[in-house]
Parts: sequence; C-alpha cells; structure tokens
Amino acid sequence: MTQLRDATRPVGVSAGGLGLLLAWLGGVAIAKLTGATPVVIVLAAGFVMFLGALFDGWLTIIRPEVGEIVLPHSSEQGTPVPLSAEIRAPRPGFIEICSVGAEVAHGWTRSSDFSGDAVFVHRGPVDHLRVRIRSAGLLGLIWWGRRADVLIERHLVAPARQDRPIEIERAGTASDGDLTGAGGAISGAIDGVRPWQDGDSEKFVHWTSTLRAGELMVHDRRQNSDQQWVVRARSGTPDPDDEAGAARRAIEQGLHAGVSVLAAVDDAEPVGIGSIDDAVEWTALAPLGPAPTEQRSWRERFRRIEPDATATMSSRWWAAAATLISLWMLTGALSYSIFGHAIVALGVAAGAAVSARSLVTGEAPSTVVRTVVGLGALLGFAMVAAASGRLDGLLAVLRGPLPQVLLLLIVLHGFECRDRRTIRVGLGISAVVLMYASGLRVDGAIAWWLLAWAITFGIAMAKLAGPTRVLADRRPVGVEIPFRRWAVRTAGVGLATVATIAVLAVVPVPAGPSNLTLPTLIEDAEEVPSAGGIAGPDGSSRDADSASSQPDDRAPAGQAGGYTGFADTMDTSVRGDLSDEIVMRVRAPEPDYWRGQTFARFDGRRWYADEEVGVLQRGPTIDVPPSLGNFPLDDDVGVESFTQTYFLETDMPNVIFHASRPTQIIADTDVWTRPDGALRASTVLPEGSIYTVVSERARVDADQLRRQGLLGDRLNGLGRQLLDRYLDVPETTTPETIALADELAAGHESTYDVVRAYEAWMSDNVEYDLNAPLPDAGEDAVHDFLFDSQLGFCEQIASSLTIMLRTQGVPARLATGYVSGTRDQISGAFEVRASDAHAWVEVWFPGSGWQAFDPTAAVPLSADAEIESVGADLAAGIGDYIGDHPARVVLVLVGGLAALSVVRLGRIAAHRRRRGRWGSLQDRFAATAARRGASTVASNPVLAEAWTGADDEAVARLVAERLDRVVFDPSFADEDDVFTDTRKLVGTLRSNDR
Amino acid sequence: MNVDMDVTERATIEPQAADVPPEPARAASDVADLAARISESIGAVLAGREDATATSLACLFSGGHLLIEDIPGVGKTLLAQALAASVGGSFHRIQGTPDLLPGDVTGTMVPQGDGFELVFRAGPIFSNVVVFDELNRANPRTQSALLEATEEAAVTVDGRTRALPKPFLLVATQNPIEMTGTYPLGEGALDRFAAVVTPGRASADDEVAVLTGRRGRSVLAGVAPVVEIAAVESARGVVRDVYVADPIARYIVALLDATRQHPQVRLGASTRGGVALVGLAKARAAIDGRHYVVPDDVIALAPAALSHRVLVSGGSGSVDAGRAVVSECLHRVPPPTA
Repeated sequence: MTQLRDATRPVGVSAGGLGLLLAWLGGVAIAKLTGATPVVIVLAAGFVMFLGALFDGWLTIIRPEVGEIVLPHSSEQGTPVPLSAEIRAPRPGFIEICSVGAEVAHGWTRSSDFSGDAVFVHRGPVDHLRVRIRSAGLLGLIWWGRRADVLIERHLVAPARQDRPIEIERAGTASDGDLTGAGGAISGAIDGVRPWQDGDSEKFVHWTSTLRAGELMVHDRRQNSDQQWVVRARSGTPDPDDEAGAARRAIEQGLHAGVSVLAAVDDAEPVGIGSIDDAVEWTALAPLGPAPTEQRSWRERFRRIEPDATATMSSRWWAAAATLISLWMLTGALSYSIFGHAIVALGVAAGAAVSARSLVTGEAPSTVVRTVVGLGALLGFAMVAAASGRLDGLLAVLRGPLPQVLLLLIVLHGFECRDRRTIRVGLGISAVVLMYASGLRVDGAIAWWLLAWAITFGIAMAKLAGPTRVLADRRPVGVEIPFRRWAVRTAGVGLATVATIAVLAVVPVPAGPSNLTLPTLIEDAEEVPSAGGIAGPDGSSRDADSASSQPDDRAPAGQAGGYTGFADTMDTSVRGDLSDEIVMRVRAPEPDYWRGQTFARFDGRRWYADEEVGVLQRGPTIDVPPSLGNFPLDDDVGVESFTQTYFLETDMPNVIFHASRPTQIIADTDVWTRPDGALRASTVLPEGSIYTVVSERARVDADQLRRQGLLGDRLNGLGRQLLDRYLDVPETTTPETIALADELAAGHESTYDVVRAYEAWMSDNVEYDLNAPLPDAGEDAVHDFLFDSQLGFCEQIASSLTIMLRTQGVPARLATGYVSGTRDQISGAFEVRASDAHAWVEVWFPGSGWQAFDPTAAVPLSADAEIESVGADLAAGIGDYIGDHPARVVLVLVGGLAALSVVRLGRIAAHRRRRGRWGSLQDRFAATAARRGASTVASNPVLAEAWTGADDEAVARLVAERLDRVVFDPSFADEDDVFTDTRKLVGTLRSNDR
Repeated sequence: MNVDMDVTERATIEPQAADVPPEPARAASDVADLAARISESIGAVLAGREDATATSLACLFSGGHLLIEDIPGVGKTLLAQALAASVGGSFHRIQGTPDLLPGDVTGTMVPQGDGFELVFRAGPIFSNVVVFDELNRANPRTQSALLEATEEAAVTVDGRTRALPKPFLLVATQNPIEMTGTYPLGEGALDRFAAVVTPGRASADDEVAVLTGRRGRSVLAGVAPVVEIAAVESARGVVRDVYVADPIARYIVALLDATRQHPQVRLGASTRGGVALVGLAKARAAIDGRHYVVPDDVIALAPAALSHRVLVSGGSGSVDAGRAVVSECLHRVPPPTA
C-alpha cells in the first residue's frame, strides 16, 4: 500500500457552489437592510455548513492508501483496457489515474478497490501512474484532493493501427535460392485466400476467388518465410503516433502473411520482429520524436471538478420541499390565502415532478408540458403586470409585484432543475427567499419554519453529493451499520447546531434600518369618523365619558388594546383589566418605549390631550414635522436613526406608535401629525396591519443630562412661553405636594438628580398596586396617592412625578403607550402584550429634547442599552423555551426519536421482509463475525472460524451449518423451533462478545 | 511392435479384504465412509498431502480426471499409485515418451492365430485407474488420443467402439519446470482435466518419515484395497444426486465471469470448467457426508478446478499464476449465504 503522501489540498468547488455563495452574500445584504435576527441565524448556519463542507471532504481523504494497480501487459492508444486498483479510504472518493499528464481512467472508488476501463492517450512505455483522489464529503461542495505516483509493472501502449502506406523494403528468395523481388514466384504452401492488402504483388491474385467475392483476393500463405520485409518508420513526422501506427499495421500484415519482418527507425539497423507481441513492443518503444500534447486549461479542470452532474430523484424532491417551505414563508408574510398557498405548492410540485421525470428519462420535458408551463407563466406575469398598473412609487412595487415576480420565477426555475448545478442554485434561491421572508415575518412560529427549512435543505444538499448511482456495497446488510451512521449524523447535526450558536455568540444583534422589511401593509381599514380624533378598533369615537371614575366601571375597554391611555382624556384613577394577549410585535434593534399619546394638561384627576389635531399628511411615506419641544439638539449629543416596524396582532385604535422623535412614517394610510407629538392614522388599524416608523434617538447618558443643570433656572422667558402647557400646575395641587417636591429637590445641582431623588423617594414610600383604592370624589389624585393611600399604579406614579417636577419649573408631560415587551430571540421582535400598556413621564431637556423617565419600569437610557450577541440571545431563547415548556420539549424529543425509530423499524421490517427471517439471522451472524475481524466476504464456515473459544466455536459452526442448510439443503425443513434455537445461539455469540 | 516396452502392467489385485463393505454406497454418509477409508489408506503411504488427497478423491467420485503438476520427487506418482492401490480394480501405469504412439495407449489390432486374424489387443487404457506419468513428454498425437478416449470413456479402433471399464480414472502427472523435449499441453487438452493439484514439498517431519521408511514407496506394496471398485461406481451415483442450489450455480457462474473480467487474464475459465467444478463440489459435499453443496465446497475446489483453465498474460502458461488469479476472484465474488 502506498500512502498518498502529498498534502491534502482543496482542489475546487462543485457546480452551483458560487450560487450558494451569492445567496449567502445576498443574505448579508438582507440582514443589513432588515436587521432581522433570523437572517443572521440563517447566515451563521450557512457559515457553519461551509466549514462542515470544508472539513468533511478533508476528513474523507485524510489517509487514503493506494495498493497495486493491475493492468494488462499492453494496450493500444485510445482503446479501453481493464484496470483495477486497490484503494483504501473511509468513504468513496473520486479517483483519477493519469499517465504523462493525460487522464487514463477515472471513477468512484468502492470500499476497498477501484476497477474501470483505462484508455491511454500517449504511446510508449508506462512504468508509473499518477493517482489523484478527491472527495467532497457528505455535503459535496468543496473538493479536497491528494495525489501519488504509483509504480506499476511496465505497461506498453502501442499505437493504433493506421491504414495508410508506409515504406517497406521487400526482398525474397525463391525456393531455388535466387533472390527475387516483391513480385517473385509463388513459394510456400498456400493456406487460403484473403483480401488484397497493401504490399501484395499482383502475381498473388487468386482470380477465381476475386470473381466470386467481387474484390481483389490474393493467396494467403503462412509458410513463405523466405520473403523478407523491412518496415521503415520515419522519425520527426508531425504525428509520430500516426507513423508508428502505420508501421504497426505493416508489420502485422507481414507477420500475418508469414513474411520475416524487420523494422527500423529511419536508416538504423533493422531488428527482427518475431511475433505480434514483438510488434506491439517495437512500435510502442520506437523513438519517432515527441508527440504533440494538448494542455488542459485550468478553467476546464475547475469546471470538471465534480464528476457527476446529474442529480437523483430524491435530491430533486427534497430541494422542492426546501423551496416550498421558503415560498410559503414568503406567501404567509404577504398574507396570501390558503388558495394562494395551494397554488404555490402545486407549482413547485409540478416543477419538481416534470424535472424529476426528465432526470429519470434523460429527456427534456415534452412540448405540451413546456407550452402549458409557458402559458401559465405568461398569464401569471400578465396578472402581475395588470395589478401593478395601479401602483405608485417604489414602495408599492417593492411589496407588491416584486415578490410575486420572484415567486413566479422560482416556480418556473423549478421546471428546469435537472442537474446538480441548477438544483444547488435553486436551493440558494430558496435560501434567499427564506431570508427575505424571515426579514418580513416576526411571528412566533418562525423558529419552526427555519428548523423545517434547514432540515430539508441539509438533506437535499447531502443527497446531491457523492456518486449518482450508488455502487453495490458488498457489506452484508447488518442491523448495526445504519445505526452507527445515524449516530454519526446526529452527532454531526448536534455539533453544527452548537457551532452555529458559537458563531452567533460573536455576532451582535443586527441594528440595520428595516425600511425594506415590507414597511407597511394596511388592508380593509375604515376611516375614522372624526378627523384627527381618536377611535377604537371598531371605529367608534372615544370621548371623555368613555371612562369615568365610578368604582364599578374600571374597565372601559375590555378588549385588547383598549387601554384608557389611548383617548383624548385619561382618568388617572382608572385602569382597565388588561390581558396577556399579544397586541403587536415590534421589530427594532433595541428596546424602547412605544409611545402612543402624550398629555399636557392635568386637572387634578384627569389628563387632557391637546385639542389641536395637527396636519393630515398623505401616506404612505410621511415626513413628520418637528413637534413641540423637539428643537434641534446640542452638538455634543449623538443622534442615531432608529427604525421600528409594528406588526399589529389584534385590532388596535388609530394610534401610530413610535419611539422617541419620529422623523418618518411609512404607512398605507394618511396620518395626522399632532403638535403634541402624537400620531394618529386616518383609519383604524385592524389586525395584520404593518407600519414602520423611523425615529431619531438622542444618545444620552446620565452625565450628559446632569451637565444640563437645573432646568427651572435655565428656562428663559421665551422657553417658558413656548412650553407653558408643560409647566402648568393644577390648582388642586396641595401645598404638601409642593413642599415634598421642594424638600426632595433641595441640594441637587441638576434636574436629572432631582428626578432620581423623586424616583428614589417613591420607590421607598409608595407601593405599586394595580388594585389601589380610588381617591374620594373631589380630592386631588396626586395628594391622595402621595400621602393617603401610598398605593398606586403607573398612571398615578407618573402623574405625581410630572406634577412634582412642574412645581420645580421643569417642563414635563405624561406619555402613554407600551413598554418594549419581551424580545423573541429567534425573530428578534419585541412581543408587546396588552398588559404592557404603560404611562410614564417625559422631561424636556434643552440639549436633548424629551427624555423618558419611569419610576416603575426600568427601561435603560438609550446609550446604556446593552447590545447582546445573537448567539447569547438564541441560547437564552432556547433555554427559556426548554424552561417554559419542558413537557413540550420532552414530547418533541420523544416524538422525534419515536419517528426515527419508526423509520428505522420500518426499514428493518422491510429488510426482514426482503431477506426473510433466516436472511436477517444470516446478516446478524455475519455482522457479529465481522466485528470479530472476519472478512465480510466469506462463507459461513469461514465466518464461524472467527470464534476461537471451544464453546463458541462449536456454537458458531452449528449456526453456520444451519444457515447453509437453509438455502442449500433441499430437505431442510424450516421449523420454528429450529429457527428460535438458532436465533438464540446467535444471541449467545453476540452476548458473549460483550 | 513391442507394446510392453513403455507400459508396466500389473496383475489386477484381487479385492475381498475382510473389512471391505460388500454393499454399494446408497447415501452421502456411505460415500463419506468410503472416502475416509481411502484417505486413511493413502495417508499411510503419503505424508502430509491432505489437500491433494482430498482433491484426488473428489476427482475419483465425480468421475473427472486429475492432473498432478509438480517438480520431480515430491510423490506425484506415489499419490496416484496409492490411490489406485486403495480402491482396488485394475490399474495401469503408462510412462510418457516422445515415441509413444496412440496405439500403445488405446490398443491395436494384431494378427493372431493361424489365419492371422486381426484381433483387438486392449491397451493399458483399459483399466479402472490409469496413471500417465510425464504426460507432456508424450507427443501431441498420443496426448490427444488419450484425452479423446478419456473424454468419451470409449476407444474406437478399426471402426469398432469399445467402452472403457467403469469406473475409469485417469491420473496424469507432469513436470512444469523441465521443458526441454516436452510437448506442452494446449488449452484444450488442459481443459479436459477436471482438476490440477500441486502437492508441494512435504514438511520436515514428513520427510523424516519418508527417509526412515515409515512412509513412502516402501510401504506402497503393503497397501491393500480398502474399498471395492464397484462401490466407487455406486458412490458416483450418489454424488450425481447431490443437490446444487441455484445460488451455488450462480456463484460458480459469477466466479467464471470474474476470471474472464480479470485484467491479467487473456482467456478466462470455460463453461466446461464450471461443469467440472460443480462435479467436484458435489463430490466434496458427499465426502463430507452432505447431500447438498455449500459454498465452501466450491471455494475449496475452485483453485484446483479452474486455475489451469485461465490463461494469464505474461504468466507463461503456469498453473501457479492461474491459481493466484482464481484465489483473487474468490476474494472478489461474495459467496452466497442465507
């Protein structure tokens, strides 16, 4: 055995690999544009798959060994001869055997050998062959190669016979000893007749046969050795092989005619040629000058790296499944109906069926199929074009016809996926679609979609690797071997998962702008009755009386999203019973407050929003004018763009939620931009609505706020005038309240510290309680909360803080909306529940604008928000899921194992059915013997020799004899007790081994 | 014409030793019993040649002919003689020389009596066991006459066909090394032998046994027939009825095909080789006491039955090269199992 000593090196990439790479890069772009975590997860998984593909091929051929190469003694240029070589490699690889730079044989190795036809290109002796082995492992993408020079017994490559004249010097002696020329007398015994050949004399023509056969026939004689030919081959001709071939034909003719033949190159001394073998040797070795060689370009070599271009049926169907999953993700995001989903599935399935059929038959689909598909495609494009006639703007195109055209093209491409390249490209496209769709989707099922797609994608890739036709493996079909393969593959998948999370651990949560994430989709929305007013999900107008302070009416809007804070007025003493239902998902790079409404005026119990409705802006792209207080920021305050996309999961009032300072809205509706900063859609927002808000966020931290000092002192007259509504302290505010505010604020150098002091006091002295008692009628709610009940919820806490700040001359207002909610680790979106409805305080700082403060919920300042990595997030998410649903996880694991077991048991059962009970027993016996080192290709008595212990040996012999009798003894009666006994014996042998 | 010049004729040994079973063999176990007796008897003469003995017995019971090919002085002739002596029946030994004529083997018409009537005088081939020493020294005409006679189990002289006695076993020997003055057997001639064995040199202990006279030619004279020749004929009947399952036949066909596909082989094994192999495997099964053939029978006898039938390129016609090819093919083709 010669080990292939050369270092293993990468030699190329399979066809379609570039497509996968482009898909990955496209994914990077999608991740940048959408900032969607699932895209990042898919990209990381793709990277791990690349690493796996890289190392798997390397592992396959890490230690291959090449044994003896067996060839016949000689061969002819261009004519195949059988070649066999012993190859030892863990898995099949592709072998190329070259001689003098030209490939002579190639093919897939089997477990221990390679045999195939060798065709030699160059004439001459061959004493060593270059063996190249390459493999791409399980995924079949990246090829690694090794090579070695193997010495062989000298093999002669003779030229192919050339049917053209060559210089022959003829001389002969007649029977009487006189030298005669080529046309000498007939001599020797006539053995028969044969067709005329070059060099024959006309004197040898056998006229009778010639007349009968219709062509020139001559006497054929074997014994006229008194004639002599000297065949002279010329060196330096343009094609020496051709010259050698012509010489070979002439020499063989001479030998055939019984002439004593000599051969020479040019004018050298002729040598005698005694036999056909001599002729082969002489023409193979004759030095006639160098033969023209043609170099294979590296491009061609690169292109031919993958030996099999054809795919299998199963790979085609798995690829179709992956495509369908990604398309369904897309159609789901585009709110297609069940009918639409079915049409897509039908198209993909039809494409797979048509192309899989042509995979089998090797023919292109019939004209009828092509016509039908073509017409269908035209119809589809026409429909898309007709629909797009009503569109205006890039945005509409982006979310309307573009995905539809993409969908149509993918389905069309499915009809032409007939080789590995196109199927791999198709898989790459499906990956892009998947990533695009996961940029659009934020639902909780996205993890399962990704999982399903990853599994089908992986299986399809694995099915596309390796030899197309699986060579018959002579290994006995034991029960153990598939299990080991399962174990190895499961371990591989587990390792890949861990590696993916590890890769993701260094990838930060993407913070890209999400303006390409299907920014808005609002359908079937009815107009709000009052212009600029607020309306509930049902379109009904909300007025001040919708919520009153009556103790028995605490839940004005029991439905989700019916938070009392989304109204023109808000009674601080009323809070609805809010469920845990998810009201919306928000995709945003970081948590923030999703503000819906601000309130400026307080009458002691109730907050009132500004009555100015602002300006109606036409959608879908709206630039939001600065609202009151949103003045230009200080130079030292960093500003970042912060894009949020809101996916409404339930019917909501016409409030456009937003974070911080909105600058742009992308919504399929018209929006009132109010001077108080609130945004109201002109239509109600039903479930399924999507809109995007781009905000500006000031990157502030505590020091920056502290530096701005005490705002009450800094505000000049103009400022006070502009912001007077945020400084207004209601008349009902009690002196105790003011005294407390003054006392707590004393000694602090900045408003920021004052706010912190108030918050600290509140956390020490009041308790958060959703069931706080209502203040008595006519009593100031702030006073009641601070001094009497000291129990309250966020509205009361926030109201108190606002009023206390206003007593210090600090502009402050109450804001209502939602806190960020919990982040879904897979989709990266924040899940906002009805119970996340919240009220908080906003304080105006001259340098950085409105800043949220919250004594109850801890939302960090924007600059302090920590950015976690996707991997940590994902691992936490998986951990949380397992922690939250242990039963479900166990169920899935058990179910998966059960499914695998069922598949395996089914295979074993099928195997049993095919092999019969004795056949299965035979396989068990052979597998057990093979574990003891017996050859897998052995008869039963030889297998029995694997056991050496006295008892075991006798048992093994008995088993071997019985197994032989089953097939070979006609008188063997297949009785159950004999079978049971034999099975027990095999069981004994197996258990003794352990 | 001096027929006796090259032919040593021995009187037919009368059988009927006391322990010879008089009844014919009816079942495989009877054949096993016969084979055990014969191999014990041969073992008393010949040291450590179990493989060759087993193949010889398989030939005896399958009705095929045996070629023993080895260097001189390793007991080729002794093996043949011990076999012949053990089975009883008539026995002739012919020494191959270039001037041996077909008539010397088959027999000729000779004038006899007062009227010089031509009567057939049977040649040495008319006996149950014929040992032909140095077959490749006989000229091709004699070789082919002999082989034709053995093939047809009959001799035709002067227009009359005379059947050879039953059972009939030809054991030929030849020396593969010394080639001068020989007429090497052609492929066709070789193909007529069911099996070729190469006994090989004995081990040191066995050689000591020979040198001290405990074994070897000196004890040959003391060998008495241990079976009746008629029992051999009935055993052949039993062997013919041994069952060959289809997978075994397919296995043999696959083996033959493998020799034809082998890159080093110029001419693969013939169908006749397959037939001979089936016969030998059947005989081995019966010798083992079985009435069915198992793959091991085929594996054990394939080298003997096939190696002289494959023509290895560059192997200069040696049986050893063929044996290497056949054992390689045995490794390549998986034997059938349940």
